[in-house]
Amino acid sequence: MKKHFLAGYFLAFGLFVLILGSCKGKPSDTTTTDTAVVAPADNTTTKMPDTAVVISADDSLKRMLPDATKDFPGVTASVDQGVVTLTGTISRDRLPKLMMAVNALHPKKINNNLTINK
Amino acid sequence: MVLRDKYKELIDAANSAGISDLKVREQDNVLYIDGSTPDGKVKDNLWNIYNKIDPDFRAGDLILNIDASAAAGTKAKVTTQSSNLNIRKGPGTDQEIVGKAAHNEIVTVVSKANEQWSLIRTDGGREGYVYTQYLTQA
Repeated sequence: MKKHFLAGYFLAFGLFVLILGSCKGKPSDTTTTDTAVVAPADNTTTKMPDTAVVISADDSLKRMLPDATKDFPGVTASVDQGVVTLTGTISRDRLPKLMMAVNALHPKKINNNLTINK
Repeated sequence: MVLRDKYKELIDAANSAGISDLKVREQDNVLYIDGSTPDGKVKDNLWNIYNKIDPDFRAGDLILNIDASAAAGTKAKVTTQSSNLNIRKGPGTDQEIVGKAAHNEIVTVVSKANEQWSLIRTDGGREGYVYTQYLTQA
């Protein structure tokens, strides 16, 4: 066991010296500007790359909303700068279905101002 | 990061349910969660968690977009509230109705026209566009 441990230690040390040596040999690595861009300051971004949030344009939301809300009589949807505002009345058991349909249209935000009856 | 904490249970559930292409982003005080699953129950469960954290979806701080619609080439069940589903000539409610699929009928998804509309074929051979929201993977 001890022998193996020692061998491992020397191997690791050897590797370390090798890496150190190779880095020294290529000073240009540290001066390239590309590396500075790749390395993010916030390490959470490396775990989960932040792709931009897709938000539908108002005219596209206005075109899609009638299809999404047509089975919910009593519900009115308006759009302003990506924000969808829902007004009118709906029953509580139907609310999730409506929200699923509207959430799928890529709005910026949804203001749920609906009156819920039961 | 505040919203990620508020909706932690939802994000954790999405992760453990194996949602594909799961994206969680926070922008201008709104959290955006996107992804897809072939299982309608997984989507319903995530929506139940959302409703529990934010009762009646009042806060306006989350856009949850989980696509559980049937993929092209698969069978889908018509999951309307109770009525028949209109089959249209083109993708849009302004398009002519060319047929109807019954509530709970199983149809074949030929392709997806866009995020809202799918081209389907009934067992009777009728083909046309339906609103994807009313199709659930069979």
